[in-house]
Amino acid sequence: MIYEGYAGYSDIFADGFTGVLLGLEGIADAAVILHGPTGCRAHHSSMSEYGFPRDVVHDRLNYADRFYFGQPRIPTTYLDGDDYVFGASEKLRQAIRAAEAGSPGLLAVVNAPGAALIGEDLRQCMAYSAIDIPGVVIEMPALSRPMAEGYQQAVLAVLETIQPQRSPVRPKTVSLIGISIAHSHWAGSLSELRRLLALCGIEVLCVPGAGSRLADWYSLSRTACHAVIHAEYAGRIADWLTKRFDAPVMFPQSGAPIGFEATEQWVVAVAEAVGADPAPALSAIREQRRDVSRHMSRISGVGRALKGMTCSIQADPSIALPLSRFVYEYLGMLPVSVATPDCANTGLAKRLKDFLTDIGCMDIWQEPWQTAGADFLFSDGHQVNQRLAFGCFEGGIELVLPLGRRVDFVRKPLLGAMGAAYLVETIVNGVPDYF
Amino acid sequence: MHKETKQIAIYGKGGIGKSTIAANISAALASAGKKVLQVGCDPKQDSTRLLLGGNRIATVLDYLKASTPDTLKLEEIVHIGFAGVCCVEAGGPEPGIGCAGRGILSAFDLLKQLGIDDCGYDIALYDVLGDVVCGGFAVPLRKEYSQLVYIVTSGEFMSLYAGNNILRGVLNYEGSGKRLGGIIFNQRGLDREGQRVKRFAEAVRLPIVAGFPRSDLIAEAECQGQTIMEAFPETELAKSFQLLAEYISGDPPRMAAHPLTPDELEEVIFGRRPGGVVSSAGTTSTSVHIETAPSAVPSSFIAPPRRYCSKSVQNHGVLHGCAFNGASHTVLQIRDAVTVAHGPESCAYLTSRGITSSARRTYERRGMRLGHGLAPALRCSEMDERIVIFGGNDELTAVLRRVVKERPAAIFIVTACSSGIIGDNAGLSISKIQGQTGAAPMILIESDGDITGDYTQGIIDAMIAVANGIIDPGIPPEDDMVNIVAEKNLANNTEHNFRTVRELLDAMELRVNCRFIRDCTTEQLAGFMRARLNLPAYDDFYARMVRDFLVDTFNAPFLSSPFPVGFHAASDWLRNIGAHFGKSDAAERIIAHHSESYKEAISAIRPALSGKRILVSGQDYRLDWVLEAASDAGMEIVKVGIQDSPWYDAFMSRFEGLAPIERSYTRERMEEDMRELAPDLTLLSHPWFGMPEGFRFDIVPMCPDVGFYSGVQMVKRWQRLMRLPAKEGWRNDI
Repeated sequence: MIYEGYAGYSDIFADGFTGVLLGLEGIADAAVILHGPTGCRAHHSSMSEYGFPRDVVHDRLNYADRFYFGQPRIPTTYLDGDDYVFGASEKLRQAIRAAEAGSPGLLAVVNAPGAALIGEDLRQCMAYSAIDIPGVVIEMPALSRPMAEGYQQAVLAVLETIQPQRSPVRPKTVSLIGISIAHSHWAGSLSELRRLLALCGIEVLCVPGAGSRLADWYSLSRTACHAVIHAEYAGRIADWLTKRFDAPVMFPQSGAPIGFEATEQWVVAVAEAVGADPAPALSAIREQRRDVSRHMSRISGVGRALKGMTCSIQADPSIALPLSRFVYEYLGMLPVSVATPDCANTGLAKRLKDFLTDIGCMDIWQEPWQTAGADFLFSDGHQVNQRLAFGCFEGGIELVLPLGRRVDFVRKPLLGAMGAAYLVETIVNGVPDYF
Repeated sequence: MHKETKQIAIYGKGGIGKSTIAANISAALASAGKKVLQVGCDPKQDSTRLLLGGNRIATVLDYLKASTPDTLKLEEIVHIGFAGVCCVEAGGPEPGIGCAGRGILSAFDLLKQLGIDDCGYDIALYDVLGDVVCGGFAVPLRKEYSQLVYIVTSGEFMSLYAGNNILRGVLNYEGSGKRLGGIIFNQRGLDREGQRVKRFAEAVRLPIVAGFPRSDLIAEAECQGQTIMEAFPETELAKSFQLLAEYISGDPPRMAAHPLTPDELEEVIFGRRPGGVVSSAGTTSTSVHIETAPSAVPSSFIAPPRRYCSKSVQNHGVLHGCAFNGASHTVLQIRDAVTVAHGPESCAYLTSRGITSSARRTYERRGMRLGHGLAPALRCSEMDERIVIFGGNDELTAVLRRVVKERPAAIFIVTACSSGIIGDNAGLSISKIQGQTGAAPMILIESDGDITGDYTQGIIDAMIAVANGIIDPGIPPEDDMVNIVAEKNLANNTEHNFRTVRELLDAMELRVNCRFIRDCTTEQLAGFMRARLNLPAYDDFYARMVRDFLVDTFNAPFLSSPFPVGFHAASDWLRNIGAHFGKSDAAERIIAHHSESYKEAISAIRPALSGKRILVSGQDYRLDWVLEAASDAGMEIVKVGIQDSPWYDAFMSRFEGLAPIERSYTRERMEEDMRELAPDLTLLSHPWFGMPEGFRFDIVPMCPDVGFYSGVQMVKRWQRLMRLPAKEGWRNDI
């Protein structure tokens, strides 16, 4: 059922503006000021607060003062019509002083779309405030560009500011690049990837833009390899790192470590890059596979058998490729629409199309999920929730920017072996009984 | 820019000859063996023409517009001219479209991104239009771009006026040190021109570093598309440029900016004191005294008072949310219409996410599915950096063409701040499409992000636009019909409250004609006047504004009270409606029925709460339902504290006099009262860190459930709270 005929075909996604803000908010000890109206800020503040909880917020009134207005993250200069005409430098300087009071490790100022037009000299405001910590300025966020582009804009701005110096490489260490706090269960996923790499004797020194403190960013010059998770979020960062440091960048050929096989391939590639033995991690992955298989055998043939069910996938190729393979090859679910939000023709997108061609499903490429009528949807939180309007009893799995009110007290992964198990668990418990 | 590069900005009024002078300085510098970059920062795009044989080059902005981000190359926008001068034109949008200042910002960003800093220039010369020193055209004044600023001027008043404005711009950027090199006098051959420029230079304490007489040689060289340095290198004029180039490339002194006030400027230029202020009658009066604070908003920018505005807009308060969002959330309630967001995708995303999130909460917490809320019919013109420079009418027109094919009953176009700031004319796109056969009515809501106001202002403006565009004032009223007006679309219990109210109306045999504006169709909106009575959901500032507009414009009859919260309010509400429709007997029957149930419920709770002391505070000014429930349960109301609210303006209570009431109540006052009055229960809008320990508290909902039993639900909850420890264990672990 399509509601009223006009709704549901929305192709509106979070853009580079959100990517910039969440990229900077992904630094554990950063304070990010939005130079803009409160309207641009409320949802982003909420995304950061719930995606990366770090403040004790039993106390909204503590933040009810100027610039915060009841939300602990991303204070704003609350621009209004007069400010667009006359500028708001003084307000910004005061906001910088207010944010600095929280003793952050880095202070960033980001122009909202409107503020980007009036040409306020953000660097000068920062200089006037004489802060003694690194200061980052984003004058024009990547408006109406993919969120990943904005995320990289933010990470690169930080790297350009702090300029980590070349230093001796520590063997069997990696940085993980290309993951943001906008990715659902990012913290659980990173714990899982750290666990698997630790089994191989590999230490993760830094995850820029997803939970690391600024001090950890300086270790980017010491890692033996930069392991990419989501390629869309890593390309320009990888270029920057390879120009300055010796460590190789590992781009996973199968996409992000989603599902068992992609995880195995990812772990092997990272281990090879740093000269480590992947066997212990592969063994752990196999054990997880057996565990999932035991659960599946119990429910197979009863109501919740997944084989033959259909799904729609709307995600960046680094997710859509391994996820399509996983649901098709491992679970026996048939993808009936696979689409990427920005339709970019990247290497991973080409591999995804090759896969769809191989399984005789190329006709579903870039088909909107709204018309596919799938049993399950993998997409961003906004789209997954829209599915409820179509009479579906459950939305699906929110891959980025979750919108549901679920609060995870225990970290869950989407990546790695445990991530694969969690995916299967969520699908099994989220689809209606078939028989 | 590269560390060793000397960076110089040449500012001047348009048409004053600054490009000719800049090009000749560049040519002289390059002829002396310097590696020179000249960047034209004038939408006229002719700064470097004389260095390039009279040819125009592709501008940075044209290139940015035509290329994808991954294909950009520096060599495509840097052109080699006379004596190896590297020439760049920033460019700009078509006159009347987009934002030229933003264009300069973007051009500089792109040059930096493509690595111009690493090209090793000895000197970079920025030739900048100085008529409007907005944020964009002031970019070359920033520390990272220019170390020295020269002002080119003639003796004309407007040229000196522009020069003075530039000084004011420089002053704003002077925090990092003195930045001015001096004045370059480009003579126009006017009477006593030199004296005026000299007086101006002395007044602003700047040297005239060079003067160029009016010369036919310049015009002749320009005809050949060349600089004097190229066309007539052996002339005195060429030598003057060489001398200036040597001076500039040396280590000239740097001076501070001392701009003049408008009166001082007139006095300096004309040598006389300025006249008085001209009154509206056209007579001049020197006795008029106008006081202006330095930060005061010029009167020309003070908008005339609006008739229907939100509390924040009326009081010049902090704007919570933006009008774009409020307007979009309102028109997205119309099920058979499509809304087009004219702005960046982020604006549309945040709007869509907000409404979907609210609908999701309603579904999860109340089990009610709202199709239009979960999948709002929203499209977007996706303004990006290029569009905000060049204007977004083409993109908007393209989106509207696509939307028309969906054949909605109406199309709403809501503008974001990017569109408002660059002055996009969305009406132009609408008029292009509206002529098409079968095109739906298109209604433009120029909210311009938050330029026109806050979220609530957006709702009010959208309602006015919808009413003016869709309501048919000629439709006669029908018996037993009511409208619902001014519900809150993002509240979780809006649908629940509507159903409660509808049950009461059903019992009175009244029908709901239209919800203005909530989950409705254009047909229902068109038939708004069928209702004999309009029932406001709230009576806060915003709801009163909407009511006032509908009364003023359509003479729409309104019930004086909002949706009822609590027993007393529900009884009054039903009686008033009954009186209006001649159904008083029906109203009394319903009240009697609920009276029994209410008394029974309260009696059951009373033993647990009787005698308990309660302190009540909140930002919602309708607290009588809470006070009523506490009172009926036998509680002692020790005090009522009313906090300031961005939504409410007048607190009224039938309990006035029965309990102490304090307005403009603060957290600090509440802490004192909690300690002094020792209430058994404190009601507040938000808990806070450091609250006095050992006190039980509960939250007063901002948008309470309506009906006879609102208070009963609350006291039942308090009954449970009284049996629980005042502080939960997890609070000890923070």
